[in-house]
Amino acid sequence: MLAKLENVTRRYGAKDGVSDLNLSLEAGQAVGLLGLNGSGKTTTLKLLAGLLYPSQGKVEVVGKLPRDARGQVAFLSDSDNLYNWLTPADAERLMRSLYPDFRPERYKELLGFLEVPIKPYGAMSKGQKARLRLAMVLAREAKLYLLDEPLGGIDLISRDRIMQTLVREWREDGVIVISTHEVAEAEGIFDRAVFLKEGRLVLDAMAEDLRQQGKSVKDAFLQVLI
Amino acid sequence: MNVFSTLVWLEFRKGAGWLVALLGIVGLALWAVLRVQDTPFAATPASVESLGLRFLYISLAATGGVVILLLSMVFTSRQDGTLVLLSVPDGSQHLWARFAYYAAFSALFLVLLSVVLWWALSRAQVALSLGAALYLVAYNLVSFWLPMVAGVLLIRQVNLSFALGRMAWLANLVMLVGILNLGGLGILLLGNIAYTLPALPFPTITALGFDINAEVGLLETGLPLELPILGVLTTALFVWLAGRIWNEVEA
Repeated sequence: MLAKLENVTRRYGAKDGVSDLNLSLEAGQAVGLLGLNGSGKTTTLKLLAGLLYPSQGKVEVVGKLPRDARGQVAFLSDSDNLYNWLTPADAERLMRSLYPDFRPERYKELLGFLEVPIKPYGAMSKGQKARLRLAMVLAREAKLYLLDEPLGGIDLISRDRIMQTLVREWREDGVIVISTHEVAEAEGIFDRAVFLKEGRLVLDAMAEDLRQQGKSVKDAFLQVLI
Repeated sequence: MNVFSTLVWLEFRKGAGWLVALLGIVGLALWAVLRVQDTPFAATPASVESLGLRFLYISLAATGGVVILLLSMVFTSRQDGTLVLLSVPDGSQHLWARFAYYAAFSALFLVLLSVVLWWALSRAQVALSLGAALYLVAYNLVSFWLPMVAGVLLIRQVNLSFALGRMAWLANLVMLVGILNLGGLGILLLGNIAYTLPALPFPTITALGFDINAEVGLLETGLPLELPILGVLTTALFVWLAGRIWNEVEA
């Protein structure tokens, strides 16, 4: 098992971000973390990334506390969060030094495949920015990839490129967790779908099992969450 | 490329514009000092006015430098609030790199300004060697500027850490009161321990053949060694605390 959350609750004041959440992640899986806005997807990813402490329960990544396993976690935040002056070359310099598992060749390949332009981050379109951030994160050889809304608010072509990249970069020894509410578009890449509603896990199913029941991930999403 | 040099490079990229502004202030100070008519140092109104004007311009430049430094630290750290890539290096590495960049930034500014001052004094036939001027700059840097830089890093870190909370103002107030109290305690402590260690010599400054230090008594007492020692300890404490806060608040 690569990562797990055991009876995890995270409170924000009087409100629970996630409540009594149990989840274990196995290597080789592409996991869709699905739910409506405010369902606890980002909180779950941040707990796994060590960016939040649980109010109750335990979170482990590769047998350690998330903070101690950072070298093996690649996290893509949903916010537009890079320096405006940062070019793809600057990003390479930054990543090479700060992340020992960063692979420059893979990064260059990803930049080409994702068609990231050579210009400062601030001069890029929203889709180009998302593609650069994704290239930076996927060029790491991490065990756990946490991608928060990688398809949110970007153009169709960028979405398509990003999805192709996610399929291409899938690795047997790692796990990719993708939070999204763009279920219809992304469902082809999930092995497993975890549905959250108001901070609680309401369904955890293998995509294959759903299909055998004659359902798509989108059907399950509509059935469980709406 | 190691982590530390990359983090220092990151600070430089974030704040290069401010560095240019700082160098611009030194250029302005030099220009202003050059415009003052040379008058050999003597006990005449013209001489006093000439030297006074030069000191005024350099003091204004030094004040401008402090303001630019503080603004630069505040505005560049604002950019960090947006970088949410998980950091593998811990907070202390980030903070030490940031401190190293601003220390170098301050040192460069002070050295250039002191060269302007030294040059202005030499034009007024006040003899202070360049080495002695730089020695005074180093003393000032370690005793005052570096603790100030570290203090601003700490205040900014607390400010950023509580920025999202409704009680941010309280955290900032507590931090401000704490730093002021610590400053007060530092002055009291210094009053009690100053000159218990051997003093550092004060450089010779002569004008019209008189040794100015001897006239004001600084030559005998020298500069207290305890002040730069307290400066180094305070700096290390502030940067370490800021690093700990970074680590705690990131999670």
